Amino acid sequence: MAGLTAAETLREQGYKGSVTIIGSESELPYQRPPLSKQFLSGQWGEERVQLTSKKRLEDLGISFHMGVTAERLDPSEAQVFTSAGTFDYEHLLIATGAKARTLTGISSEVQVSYLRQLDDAKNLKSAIKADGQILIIGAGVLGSEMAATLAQLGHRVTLVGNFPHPRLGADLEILSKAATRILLDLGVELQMDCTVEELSGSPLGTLAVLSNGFEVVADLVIGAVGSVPNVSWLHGSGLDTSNGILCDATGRAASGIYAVGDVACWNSSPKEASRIEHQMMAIGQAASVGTLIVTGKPSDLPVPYFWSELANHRALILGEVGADSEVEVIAGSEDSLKFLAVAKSKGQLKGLVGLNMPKEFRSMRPVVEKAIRANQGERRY
Amino acid sequence: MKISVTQDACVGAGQCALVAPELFDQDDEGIVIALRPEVPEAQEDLARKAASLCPARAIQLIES
Repeated sequence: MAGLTAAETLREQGYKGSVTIIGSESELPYQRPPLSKQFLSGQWGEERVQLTSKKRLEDLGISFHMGVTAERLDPSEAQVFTSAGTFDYEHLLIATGAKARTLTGISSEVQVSYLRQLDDAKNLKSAIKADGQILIIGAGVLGSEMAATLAQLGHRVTLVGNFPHPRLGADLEILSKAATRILLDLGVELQMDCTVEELSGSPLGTLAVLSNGFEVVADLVIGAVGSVPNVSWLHGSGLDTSNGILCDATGRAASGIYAVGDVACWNSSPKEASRIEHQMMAIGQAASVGTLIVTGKPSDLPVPYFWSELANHRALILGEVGADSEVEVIAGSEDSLKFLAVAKSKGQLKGLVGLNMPKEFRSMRPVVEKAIRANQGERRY
Repeated sequence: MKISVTQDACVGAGQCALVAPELFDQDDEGIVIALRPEVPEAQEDLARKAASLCPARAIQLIES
């Protein structure tokens, strides 16, 4: 998404030079958010997650190399070494994303599935047995979404999380309570505030023993315990990759080298650099860098904004909200699973959270964005 | 310029209705509604912006 958006932005802004995209996957660019929802449920096929076509890329004069993996970067020679030869560049934009963090200490007889790429989603779909028991480890946004999707399809699902309630991307009680209710209503068995002590093979399936004493035998175990930026190929490049690729506030990592999306850690504020793994941020960063390369000036970044879907419930979250936010419902109610709430910190407006009230959310969004930008100090969004 | 929207693809992020409220609206579920099939010339840039900001690429523009 980020790589494609940057390439399209370069053309929109009138860039006349050659534009080449190298991608390790054997697919045209596609969107990841539906993989845990519409694609996993079978509602959408593969064509629906695709973001572009060969024809459109050709029309834009973008050369796309799929199934090619970047293996090494030499900034002094401005060259990227790949599985299909060496590419020279004038401007390099890195959007290598992140991979699923894997569970550690698992014995080799136990198979754990992960969901990150389209391939993973296809494998997962074919691994699901009609009347099987599914164990999902990790109750963040991805684990919760998969649990909801699979339970809605009629599967038996156990969701394990090492914090008190499922989290929909933001650690907010109002959302966690709603997620808990939705997941329980769908028949998901929640095992919260505990960890997996042991996974072992048994004749009936994988036996999981949790720290609260609960045991479950699962036909399919899925890990959803976060992501790790894809930076190993940058070893020896001289770039700071301690938490993704460290960039300045415009996405520049070194002279002529930029990073966007999940792999990028933009130094958006003088105090802290952060990786914001939202699709809307990846789009905003990519458009900003594309514009910067052509015009010399970056475009505005969006205020962090993301959404999550649990079965037919859609949550929208704007701003930087967390456990310390003071949340106030301004429309609807928590009980009805339909609400709009503002999040404040020390009396200042910091975010907007909505569940199943998209139009009301949109009406309030400009007001809240304006306040967030006014309160953001030196942080650049 | 003409607008075509794919409602099945829409994820209800509301980006389009925010940047181009004269061209797009949302129904009660947040799903995109194209308010007019033809884009007035003065709104063409806004239509392009809405299409490029759509996280689901649910908006297609046909340049005339």
